[in-house]
Parts: sequence; structure tokens; C-alpha cells
Amino acid sequence: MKEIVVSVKDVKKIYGKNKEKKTEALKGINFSVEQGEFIGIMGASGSGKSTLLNLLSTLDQPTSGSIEINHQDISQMSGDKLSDFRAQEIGFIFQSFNLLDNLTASENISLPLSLQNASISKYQERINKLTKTLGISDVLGQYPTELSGGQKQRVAAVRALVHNPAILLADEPTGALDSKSAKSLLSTMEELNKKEQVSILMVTHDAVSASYCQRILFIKDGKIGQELVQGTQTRTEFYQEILKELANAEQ
Amino acid sequence: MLLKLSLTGIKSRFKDYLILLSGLIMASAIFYMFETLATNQEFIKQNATVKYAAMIFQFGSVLLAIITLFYIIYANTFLMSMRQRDYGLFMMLGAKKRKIGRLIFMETLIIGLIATVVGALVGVGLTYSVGQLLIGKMDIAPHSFQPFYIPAILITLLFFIVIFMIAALFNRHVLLNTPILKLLNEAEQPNSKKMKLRTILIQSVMGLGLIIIGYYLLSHMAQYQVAGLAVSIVTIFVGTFLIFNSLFSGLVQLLKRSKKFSEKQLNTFLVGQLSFRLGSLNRVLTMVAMLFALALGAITVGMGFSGITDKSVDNASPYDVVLQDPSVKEQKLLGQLTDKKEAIYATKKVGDKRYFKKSDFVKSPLYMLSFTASNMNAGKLSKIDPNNMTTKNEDDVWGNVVRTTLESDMLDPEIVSDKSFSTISAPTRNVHAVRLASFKDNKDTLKSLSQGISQSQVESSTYLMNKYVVYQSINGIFGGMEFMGFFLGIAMLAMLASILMFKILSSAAADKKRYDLLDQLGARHQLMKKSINREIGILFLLPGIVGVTHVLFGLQMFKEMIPDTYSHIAIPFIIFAVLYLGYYWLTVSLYKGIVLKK
Repeated sequence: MKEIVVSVKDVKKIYGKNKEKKTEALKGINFSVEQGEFIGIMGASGSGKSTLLNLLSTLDQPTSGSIEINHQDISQMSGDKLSDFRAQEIGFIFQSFNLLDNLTASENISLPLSLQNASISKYQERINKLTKTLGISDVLGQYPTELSGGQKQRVAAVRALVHNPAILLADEPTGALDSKSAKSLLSTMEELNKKEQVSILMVTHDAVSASYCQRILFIKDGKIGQELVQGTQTRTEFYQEILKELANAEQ
Repeated sequence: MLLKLSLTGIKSRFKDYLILLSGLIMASAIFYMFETLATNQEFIKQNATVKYAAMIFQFGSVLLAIITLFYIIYANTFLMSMRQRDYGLFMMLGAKKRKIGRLIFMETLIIGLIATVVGALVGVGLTYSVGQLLIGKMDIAPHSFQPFYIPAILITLLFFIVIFMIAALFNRHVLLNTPILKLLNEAEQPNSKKMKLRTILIQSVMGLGLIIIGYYLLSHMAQYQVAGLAVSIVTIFVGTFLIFNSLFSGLVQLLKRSKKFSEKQLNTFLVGQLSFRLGSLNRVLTMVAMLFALALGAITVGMGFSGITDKSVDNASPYDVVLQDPSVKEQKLLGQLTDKKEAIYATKKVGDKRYFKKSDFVKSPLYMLSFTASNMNAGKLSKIDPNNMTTKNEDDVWGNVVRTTLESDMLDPEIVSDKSFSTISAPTRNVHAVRLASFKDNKDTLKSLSQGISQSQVESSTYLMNKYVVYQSINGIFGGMEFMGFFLGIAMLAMLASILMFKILSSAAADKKRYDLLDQLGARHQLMKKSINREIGILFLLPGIVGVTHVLFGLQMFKEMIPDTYSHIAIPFIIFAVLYLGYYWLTVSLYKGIVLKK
């Protein structure tokens, strides 16, 4: 059996303080991600996906339940420990790229290493390999404003992976890209997942993006409803199945 | 309805508006503070010994007006950046352009009015407290100094209302002539221009060259006169700009290349922030550096005048206080003087002669100060050998010293033996001559002595000697100049630091995104705080260093007027540094409050 990198147990999240009206965003979520798995989370707006992602990325704390990433319970951490944990164990890719516009692409990439005071020359080989895989070796000296959307997202992907995190969290990574760039980014993610055994958890509402995953969890009203597994299906078949599931969920 | 909406907009960004308002209030308060002196002709006439003083104030007034204008332009950009999205949204929802135009016009004007009126009131308080502080510290009472001065209030109101009127029209114009889509999309941050190494080198060399020319002209003021001053101001100004534009950006780029530095923690980020900022802040930094130099220069020169006072007091006499037959009360006061050497000389007056005992002079020889052409600024202290005090020539030095130091009636002195002295039939008077290690430490006691003394004089109402009286009269002349220097300096410092603070804070909203992102990437809070401290520290430090250099060389201008121009710079520099640091601290904490999550 493969090692488990993310384990979410009975997680609840309730917004609203004591006297205010309470909203239960997550009503008990259970799932786990194995090492080297590419998992998708789908759901309509307001289903709780963003809340779940915020919890996984340690930016928010669950009201109850536990979240373990790389065997460390993040609901027990606070302050600097959380910061360090994010810096070491988690890689992020966002819809809006979130690159620092005052740093060049290569500076953006080496930032997570600098944060840990790691020697960049030690990682140089990894950086070279990643930038080559993602096809951005030529634009490393440029500032984000000089890059296309696809290039920006690739820079963000390298930055997310450079420090070898336990899990890559992707939030609608193709949301702001044209279909060509989106496809190419997804293929690269798939490649990284297969070749490098990078564990990926991607939140999306786009069926095409989701069809690249091995497994998809559907969230509805704060709970995990359906679960789809690609298994031996081709991507097109899996895509059709996802569309069907989405159509079912609508009714 | 629209008005209500726009008011809600203000309420939701109350904190930003508070920063904006307090900045504008400070500007108007400082402007008022300066105008209380600049428009008060009577004050200038009474307190300035230099005939150019009125001109200096006119010049300062124009300078301050220009600076204030820039300041308000910055503030207005800040206001527009907050509002244009809201108003764009209203327009998109179908609000009429004319109505929106009227709203932004009113908003700008109302904010301006509030700031001006409150600022003038704060200015009265500020002027009063700074005035009191200076008067208390400097032991002077400037004539005709009025914290509440109607002409200054009128000028402040008029100036600011006109400026805000223009700003309001400008904002209205911008809002009505910008496409809605552009209003809705926030302006993208411009790229930092990458300069070629050659351009950096050429500009740095040119900048340094221009500054050196300026320094040279300043140190040869006597030769080049006013034209030299005018040219040097221009060359130093342009040179400073070139330095900020090239040299500092070059240094930042060098830092960036050094892997040893940039690979550590948030250093890359720090350098990235700095190179972005230096690109957009070079004009502001130039102005801040120049103002820094002017402000610090004003305070230093002001303090230099106090140096003249000290020197003149030192040169007045070797003795700090000389009394004849002190009363019980005076004896008590004399006893309070610290670190003193007291000599007592017995004297008897017969006809137009005054007799002294030789033994008194043997016991404590009389001190004298002698001046020659080479040491006009500092008298040479020496003791008179009692054996030489025998000649009776009227031109004898010793005779003059005794006459001026120990007598009030300027009679011819004669030194006799104890035996002869006792045979003279006249009442004995005792002259107490006191030398103090420090005049300043005993100033208050000397002041009390100077008040009680005139009644107790038995033989003559003329007061023998009290340095406090000398101090008082000289301080009256130069204290006014010192007061003006301080006042001017503090007003300018407050203005320049506010400009810098404001400029940094107005970019905080855009920086917040970056810090949020760093937080997400796992940068510790402590690390981000450190990075902020350093970044803002460098932005404060650079114009500070340039300003200090300008002052150090600029003081050459005053070397003829103020003796030992450089001997008094420590105190003004320290005072200035403390105030400047205060502003730095305030800026950093406000900035952190905006960009960092709690």
C-alpha cells in the first residue's frame, strides 16, 4: 500500500461567532490522498471547495476534526510553525498566478528556497529540470508583467514544486488561461505527476481539467457526495463520465 | 441616493481616509506654523540682526508653498486611486456623468476644507507648543511672537482653498474624461526600468560632479556672492536627482547580483521592492534629501548663533560673578554655586584712589584675558604676577584689569602692604570674585544673583560683574536667530518626513497583496517585519545621508559669520536624528498595520 500524504478526518468548519448567525460550510469531510496521486475536487459555487482548500493550505483552521499532511497534524500548529510548514510541505498554484510582480521569474522561483535559507546552487539542477519540463527556461530573467498568462502559470508551477513539497495544491489553475495554454499546463502537470510522483490536489469546476485527474471527489453542501475514478478509461471516456455526473448533480 | 452611496464608500475606507486627512492636516498645520513667522514683519524686524532675514523668510515661504503643492498632488492621487473604481462602478450602473463629476468635486473640496480648517487650528496649537518649548529651552523671549496670528490664518486658508479648488476641478476632469473600463481596472504597476551600466555610470559621475561644483561654490561664497549661491542650489539639486536616479539603483542591482546576500530569506524580495521603489521614488527622495539638508542646515546654523553667544559670554571676563560686600542672601546664593573658586580682595577708598592689599593678590592672583589679532575669538587666560603690580603708570595693564574687574568707580588702584592698608582710615569693603568651572550649570543661580544685586550695592549702584547679564543681552540678539532657525528646521522636517511617510503609505495598499502572498508561501511574520523595517529604513536613510552630506559641506557658507562653524553640530544633529527616527517608527508601524495580517 502506498503512503498517505494527506489525510482529512471528519473535518467541520462553521463560520460565525457565538452570537452571530452560524453557517456550516463543511459538515464532516473524510478523504485521503496517496503519494503520487492526482486528485480532483469538484463542486458548484458555495459547495465548500474554497473552504476546504483554505483549510488544506493551512490558511484557516477547522472547527473540528483533523487534517494531517505528511503525517503532521496541521490543526495543532500555529504562528511560525504554520509558516514554516507552508514553506516546506505545500506548493501552491492559483487561478490568478500570484507571482510577485517586483521579482523576476527566476527570483520568484527561488523565493521558497530563500525562505528556508537553502542554498540555491544545490537546487540548481532541480530548477533547470523543472524549467525545462515546463518550457520557461528562456523567460527566467523577465518580470511577470512581461509574461503571458500561460508562462506566468508555469513559473508559478515551478515555484510551487522547487522545494519538493509533500503536496501541490492547485486552485483553478487553468481558470485564467486560454484553452491551448490550459491543455499544455494540464499535460505538464500530468507528466510531473507520473514521472516525478508529485502528489497533486486540484480544485476545479472545469470538466476538461478534471479529466486529467485519477480520482475526483464531488463536494455538495459541505459534504463529499460522489467519487469518480478514472481507472482504465481513456481521458475522453472519463470526461464523458464527469459531464454525466455534473448533469446528475444539477438535477 | 448617489451621495449616500458615496458616503458609504468613505465609511468603508475610513482608515485610508484617516491617513489622507491627517496628512493634509499636518501639511496645513505646518504651513500655518511657518506663516506665523514669515508674515509677522514686526517679529522679523525685532529679532533678526541680519537684514536679509525678511528675504530668507519670503524665499522659505515660496519654497514651502511649492512643497505643499507637491504634497497635495500626491495626496490627491491617493484620493483618486481610492475613489475612481467606486465612481466608475456608479457610472457603469447608469449614474449620470455630470452628477458623478459634481460628487467628486464636492468630495475633494470638502476633504480639503476640513483639512485646512482643522490644520490651521492644529497649527495654532503646534506653533504655541513649539514656541513655548523653544522659549523654555533657549531662555529667550522673542518679541512679537504670536501663535495665533490672523494674517497667517488668512494666508493658510486662502492658499489651501485655492489649491483644493484646482485639485477638485482636476479630479472632475479626470473622472469625466476617462473611459469607464479604465476606471474599473486598476492601473497595472509599471515595470522597473532596467538601466544600462553605462547610463548608470555616466549619470553617477555627472551627478557627483554637479554636487562637487555646488559644494565648491558654497565654500567660496565670498568670491561668487549671490550668483554662486543660486548656481550651487541648481547644481546640487540636479546632482542629487541624478544620484538618486542612477547610483542608488545601481547599488541595488549590485546587491541583487551578490548571491551571498540575495539568497538569504527575504532579501531577494527586499531588493525587488527597493528597485521598484527607487524607480518611482527618485523625485520624492531628491526633494526629501534637499529638504532634509535645508531643515538640518537651518537648525545647525541657528545653533551656531548660540555658539556666538557662548563665545561672547566666555570672552566677557575671566570671572563669572564679582560682588562687593554681598548681603546675607547673596552670600547664600554664592554658596549655592557649584565647582567655584572664590577670591576675596579687601579694598579702601580714599579720595580718588583705591587701595588693595598685596597679600590678597599673592593668595589668589588676578586673572586676565588678553586678545590679539590672531585669537579674536578666544581670549588668552593668564594670571597677573602680584610683584608686577607696583608701577603707577596709568597705561599699565594690571591697573586696567583691576579697574575693570574689581572696581565700579574706575579709580586709580594702588597695591599696598597689609601694614600700610591697616593704617588707612576708611571703611573696608570686600570684593568677592568668583570663577566657575561651568557658567551653564550655574545659570539659574547667577540669574537670581543678578536680580537681587542692585539694591545691596553699598558704595555704588553700579553692578561689578555678572556673566548672566552679559549672556542675557547677547542672547537677546542672537536668540531670535536661533529661534527662527529651529522653528524653520522643525517645520521643514515635519513636512519632508510627512511627504516620505505619505508616499510610502500610499503604496501600502498595492504592497498588501505581495505580503499576503509571502504569508501564503510560508514566510514567517518576523521575517516580513524585518524586511519592512529594512526597506523603509533604507528609504529614510538614503535621503538622510545625502542631506547630512549637503549640510556638512553647505556649512562652509557660514564660516565667515559663525566662529567654529562645526563645533556645535552635535546637538542639532542629535535632535534632528531623534525626530526623524520618530517619523520612521511611525511610518513603519502604520505600514505594518496596513500590509500585515493580524
